[in-house]
Amino acid sequence: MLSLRKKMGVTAASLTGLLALSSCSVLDAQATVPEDWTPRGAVKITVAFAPGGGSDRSARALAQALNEEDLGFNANVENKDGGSGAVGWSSFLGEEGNGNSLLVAEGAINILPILYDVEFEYTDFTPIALFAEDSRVVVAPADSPFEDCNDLIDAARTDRVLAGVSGLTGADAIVRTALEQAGGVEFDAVPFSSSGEVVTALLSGNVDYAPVAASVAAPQIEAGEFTALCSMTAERYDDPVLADVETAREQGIDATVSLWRGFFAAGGIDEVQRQYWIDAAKRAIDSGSFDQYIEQDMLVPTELYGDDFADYLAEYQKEMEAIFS
Amino acid sequence: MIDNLVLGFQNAFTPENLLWCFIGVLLGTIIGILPGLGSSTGVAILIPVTLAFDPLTALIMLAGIYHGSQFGATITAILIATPGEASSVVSTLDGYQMARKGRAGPALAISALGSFTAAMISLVALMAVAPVFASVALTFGPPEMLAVMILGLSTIVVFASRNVLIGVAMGLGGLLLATVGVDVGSGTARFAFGQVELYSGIPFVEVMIGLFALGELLNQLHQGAVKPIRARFRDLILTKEDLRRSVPSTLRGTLIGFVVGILPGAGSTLASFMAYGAEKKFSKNRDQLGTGAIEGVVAPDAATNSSANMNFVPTLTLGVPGGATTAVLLGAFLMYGIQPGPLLFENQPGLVWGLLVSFFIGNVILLVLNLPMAPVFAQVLRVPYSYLYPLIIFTSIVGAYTVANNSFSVWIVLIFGVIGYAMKRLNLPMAPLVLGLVIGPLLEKSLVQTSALGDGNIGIVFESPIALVILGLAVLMVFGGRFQKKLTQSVMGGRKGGKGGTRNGSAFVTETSSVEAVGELADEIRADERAAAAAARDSRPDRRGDGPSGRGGGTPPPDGD
Repeated sequence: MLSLRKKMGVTAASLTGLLALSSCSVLDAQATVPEDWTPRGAVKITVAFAPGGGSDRSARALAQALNEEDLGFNANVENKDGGSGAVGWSSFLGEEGNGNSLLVAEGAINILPILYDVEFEYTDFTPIALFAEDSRVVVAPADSPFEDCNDLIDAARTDRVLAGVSGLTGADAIVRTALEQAGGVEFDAVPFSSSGEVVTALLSGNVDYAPVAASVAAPQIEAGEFTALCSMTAERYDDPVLADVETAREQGIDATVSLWRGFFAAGGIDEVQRQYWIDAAKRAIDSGSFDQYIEQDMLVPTELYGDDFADYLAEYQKEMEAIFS
Repeated sequence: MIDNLVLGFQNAFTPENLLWCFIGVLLGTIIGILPGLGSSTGVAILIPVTLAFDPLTALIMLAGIYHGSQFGATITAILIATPGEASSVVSTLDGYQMARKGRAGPALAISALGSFTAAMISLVALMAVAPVFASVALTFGPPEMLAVMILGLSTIVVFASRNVLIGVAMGLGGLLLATVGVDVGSGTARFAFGQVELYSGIPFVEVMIGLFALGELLNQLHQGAVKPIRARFRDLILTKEDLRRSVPSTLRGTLIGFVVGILPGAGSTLASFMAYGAEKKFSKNRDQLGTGAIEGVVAPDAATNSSANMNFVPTLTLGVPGGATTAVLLGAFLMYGIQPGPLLFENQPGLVWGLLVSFFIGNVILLVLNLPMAPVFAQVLRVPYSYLYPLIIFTSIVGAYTVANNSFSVWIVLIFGVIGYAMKRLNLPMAPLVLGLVIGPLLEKSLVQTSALGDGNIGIVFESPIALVILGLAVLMVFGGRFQKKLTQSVMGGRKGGKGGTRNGSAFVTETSSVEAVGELADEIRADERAAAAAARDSRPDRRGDGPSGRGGGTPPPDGD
């Protein structure tokens, strides 16, 4: 019964939400926004990935932090997954002009339009805040002959070196390209569809190395299942296990990889609304509950707001275009 | 081990945890019944609700949903041939035929009993030797998984009872549908026609609602509604004969689910199809399969449940999800700040053992709920289908819409509803299509990975002894019956499988890579099949003429409803 009611509730809420939002956007486009505008009622935070994933966790941390600030509205997370983010991000185009809607996004929003025929570009949305950077730790199976990332590059000059890569639009793909460009070599990529599969391939020794997220790498390294070769961050991780892992830079390889995480408001919103969200974002991101999320997911805490975030994105877009096109 | 169990019982047997376990399995059963919601989406939807709980309580409830949905999914599969989950597609074949014969009660009861038995056996194994199984799972790399997928695909011959060629064609149709979306190897979007919704492929749940529920409704609109079934009370109870026949099938199903469940990513749908295939080959009553044999209900259900449990082996010991739902659960672990991985058992013994013990409790609750409820659920058949189906379709579409918040899902349901109707009118089997659609992406992925590992040469499959054995089984699956029939013709009751061995292996690799090869394969089989079909017709005049999906049961001519 509970589930039925809940489902009905969710459906009803999303239906009324849709109706309300579509009418709102029409109104917003015509009427001028008052100086003291604040969001009212429900604010939807769209996530372009499934519940439980990295993006979803960031959205829930954000929703919780915003709700704890008690700003007079209620933030809800809505998952619209599919197509490596393409479905959710495309659907957010429909929020144009709606000040009551937020979008959680990550580096892939820069990459997808380069590779695929999608309708959106990141510039269609209003950048609010970047709240963290994610990177990768390059690991090998425990019994691997490789000890650091230079060994990988040296081996690739003479032999086939197999890289496990999850997804072709994410950080894994960037790491492989960055190492290849820095070392002037080529790795053979074995494609996997999730980081879980990559971990299995590493554990069973089917691939020689793989870039994995810090939160995935740490427990395996601690258990002695993986050898860490290098970290793709600019500085070492602040973590008991990963603190010993040298960065690629320290090993003389000129490669760092970062995948930003941040959030946007809809495109075409009023300046008053943009400023409101930047202020609210600062309060939420500086709150204790948000710090806990950053720590749990082993992300690199970084904060950029509004125009600074927009400048960062423009720079990032150029880098990604150099890698992917 | 004993210490751990005691710890687990202490943690799981709190009033709060028992209550949420109960709520979890109950919700799970409902979620399983609704075709629009699967266990993975059910768990995903409810994760945010559980965030306020203690991690163990939350995970117990979420796992309860997972287990409950396995039980629930079979109920609609048996009663109205509309599977609640992909893994229950096979249960429609014999389960629905049993229901049409007024034996819905025993079908539901044996499904619950078989699932329970499989769950108990697999849970004991899971607790005792999970780490050992984990190392077995790691010996299955891409080449071995490719062989497993080929074995799964080879079961098509079993589901294409009327004509192998048609069955193979439907299976290929499923494989072709599975090529829609961004491909794993190159990242190219195929057949998406600019629709971003198609980038992640044709959504499976919606296809099922369309093919089975809507297709059946359209069919009934065409033919006039089926009369409700009025089962006599004594037909609602399991007989000793039913139980006796179910024992070997349950054990076979459990074993198959076991092996498939340990492999990360293989999934319980594959396990259920393979279990049915095994019944068709090894069961004493294999001739009755497809006409409402109890073996055809209990074996796939046992396989589904044991594989669902064994999915936790890689999840808990390696931190690698075993299937779609355990992947979502893994996300839930992270949300509660628990890091699954090799150290989970050491770092969080209270949580892990509490969770494992709760699996036992959940399954006991499910049996207690489902066994007495089986005759009650069977009464649903008294409701005229003209009321039942619209209700099912309404809830399914609302469910599908809710999950994706997207009207695209509704379109998929409608399109596949028409396809399902056409398939029914043309008497085409649905099970091979579903199998193709399920296996397609997995097959392609392991093919691409194998080829990447072998630097473009998929011949490395033959360098793996495990893969060779599995391919040998696939050969047996396809040609075994052929030898069997020949033997049966000459020696009465002879039961010896063909020992084709690995010589034929090469035929199978090409089978997956080229359409023509499958054609050849089918050609080889066809002659025998014709003879066999003729023989079957002679020996069983009452045998249903409809496809292996057994769904024509609505109002097919031989039924004369």
